[in-house]
Amino acid sequence: MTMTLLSVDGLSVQYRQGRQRLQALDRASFEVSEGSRLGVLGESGSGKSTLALAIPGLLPPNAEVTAGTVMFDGRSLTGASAKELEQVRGRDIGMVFQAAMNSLDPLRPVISQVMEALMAHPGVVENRAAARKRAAEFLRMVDIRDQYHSMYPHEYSGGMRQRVAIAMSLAGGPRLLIADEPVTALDVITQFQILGLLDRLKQELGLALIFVSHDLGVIASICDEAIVMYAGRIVERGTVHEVLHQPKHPYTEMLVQAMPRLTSTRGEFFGIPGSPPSLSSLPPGCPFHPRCPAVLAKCSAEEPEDTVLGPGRAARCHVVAAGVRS
Amino acid sequence: MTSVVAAPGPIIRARDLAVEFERRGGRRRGDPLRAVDEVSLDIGKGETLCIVGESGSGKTTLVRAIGGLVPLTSGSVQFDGAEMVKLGRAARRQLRRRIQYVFQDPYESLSPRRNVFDVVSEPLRVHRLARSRQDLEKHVAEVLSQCGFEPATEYFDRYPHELSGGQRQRLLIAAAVVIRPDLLIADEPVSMLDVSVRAEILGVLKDLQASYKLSMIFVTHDLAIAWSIGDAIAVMYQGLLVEYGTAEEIIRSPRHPYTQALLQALPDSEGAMGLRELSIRGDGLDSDRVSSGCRFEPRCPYAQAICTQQRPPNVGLGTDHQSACLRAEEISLKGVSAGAASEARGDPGD
Repeated sequence: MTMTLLSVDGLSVQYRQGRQRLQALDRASFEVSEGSRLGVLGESGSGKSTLALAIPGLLPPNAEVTAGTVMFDGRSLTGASAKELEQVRGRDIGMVFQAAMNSLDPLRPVISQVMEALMAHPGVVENRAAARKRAAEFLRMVDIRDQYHSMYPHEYSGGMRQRVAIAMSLAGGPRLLIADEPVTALDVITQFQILGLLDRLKQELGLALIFVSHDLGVIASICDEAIVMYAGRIVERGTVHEVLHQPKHPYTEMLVQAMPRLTSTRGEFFGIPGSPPSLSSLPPGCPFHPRCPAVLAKCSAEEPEDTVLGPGRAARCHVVAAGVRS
Repeated sequence: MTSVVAAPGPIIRARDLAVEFERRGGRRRGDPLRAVDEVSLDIGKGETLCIVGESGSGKTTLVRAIGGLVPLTSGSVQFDGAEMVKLGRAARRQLRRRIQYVFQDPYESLSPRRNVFDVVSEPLRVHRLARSRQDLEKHVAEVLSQCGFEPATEYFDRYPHELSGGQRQRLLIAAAVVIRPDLLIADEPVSMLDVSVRAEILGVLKDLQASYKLSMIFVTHDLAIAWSIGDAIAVMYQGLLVEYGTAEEIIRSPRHPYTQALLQALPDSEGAMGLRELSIRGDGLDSDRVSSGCRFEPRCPYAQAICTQQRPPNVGLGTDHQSACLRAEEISLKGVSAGAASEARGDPGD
């Protein structure tokens, strides 16, 4: 039986913006088992990055966890001190962001930056010589050939720099990697190579992964399970196969259809009318109801609760709850 | 509005078009960067040509050179039969009316102080295409509703901050087509938008194209989008066209190994990363070297001796399916077939 590594329960986050309080995350609940890969799918403003930042305690100063808990390997992260969280980050939970490839120091060779990441964690390497040896291993692990190790970041391509960022995020030997849009600014071939690398690292290191993306295809390529976010809510969760092929929430269903495919009929465009709501002016009731084709009377009046459809399978939708949809 | 009687022949005839940029510093200062290298192509009237390539492949520079926004280093571009560099002032002004652009970023392209009516009416006023205020309003309302703003007059007084990203991009499209250009150059027009609103933009472009008989050059890095909107697709690699053909030919039966790699790399709902293989080598870093042969050779799994010795043929002239691969006749490449996904997707009820 697989062990639960991360458990998020009823997590809510608010941002203060002037006198307003914006609900960026509303009662998010899910679990990540050891060695499993969870995709977090959402459009802009859906709360997916807030979720990625809230787990390791990296929310900006104007954000606040207003409810809920995050448990990692039996320890509460929501109740942890700043100092404890600092130890968790890197050592237990690694992180890679979209702009990670631009965070390398342009004035220092790549390998010495990886060495620094290794030495930042007590007990990982004993001395500089060991750190250099280990750093070279890490770079090889992410397919950076030896002749490039002593070069500077500007001599690397974007994809290579992103691979270095992944190597550095793994320096402390984490068991969970949170990757927020790690391939978004990259070309398809580079993107493919990074996804292949993350896939391989999962096999080799038994790493669990939370992969945040707006791209359904990318999540389908690499994840086992997926949560779909809309307006700060997790509107659906299930296995990637379930979410993709048997979506329950009308938003998920339409999003899957909206994905451009090489196998679809040319000249046919399927979108969702309207656009995602702004957090500062959410519609009453279900935030998706103004764009929803299956809307019921109560959808504009009352916010839906999660309807549990099975283990790890749920949707937050009145229509699903009413059992109108099969 | 006066309509210019179109001459027969293609709207764009580019021949041996090259664009070089000066390198300002670094190790290779003085050695010009050849962003577009001897590209020849024709774009038929009413046709949509998609230019596909990775970042740095020269696709944006190519379309800017075609539209006259970037000076040519060599070669020529004819617009509807007229040589663009030889045009006088008045003809250039006229040309600017006939070629319009839509760019990637709808957030940066609009002034926060100008409302929807100002944005869409300005081109009409600049080119003196409206006889009266009433006429102006009529044209603006007409094009806005064609771009999905209904009822159009209700949007006249709105400012950009009141519009969503998708609405802003539709507004910019309206401002581009209100003066009835012959050619619309759209450079990654949906790349910054959410997936759920992309379809709306593509649908508007497709409708406008049909109703205005627009020719369109559509630049994208996404083959799935090129497939959905393009009649023809040109694939660029390092400043060169490497393959040209109908959308059907490029996607279903590619004839250049680079196109095949792009198709293989495209993530889709088939999933299972580990099961797929990409027929491309290396990380693209070695390809900076100047080769007398094919530029894709260092990364090509099909490369043989001939590929380092012989310069590949130019593609893009004519309408048949063409590949710049020296071994195109000998190798067999795989495209994405129409049935592939439905098979992987399984039955709806599974």
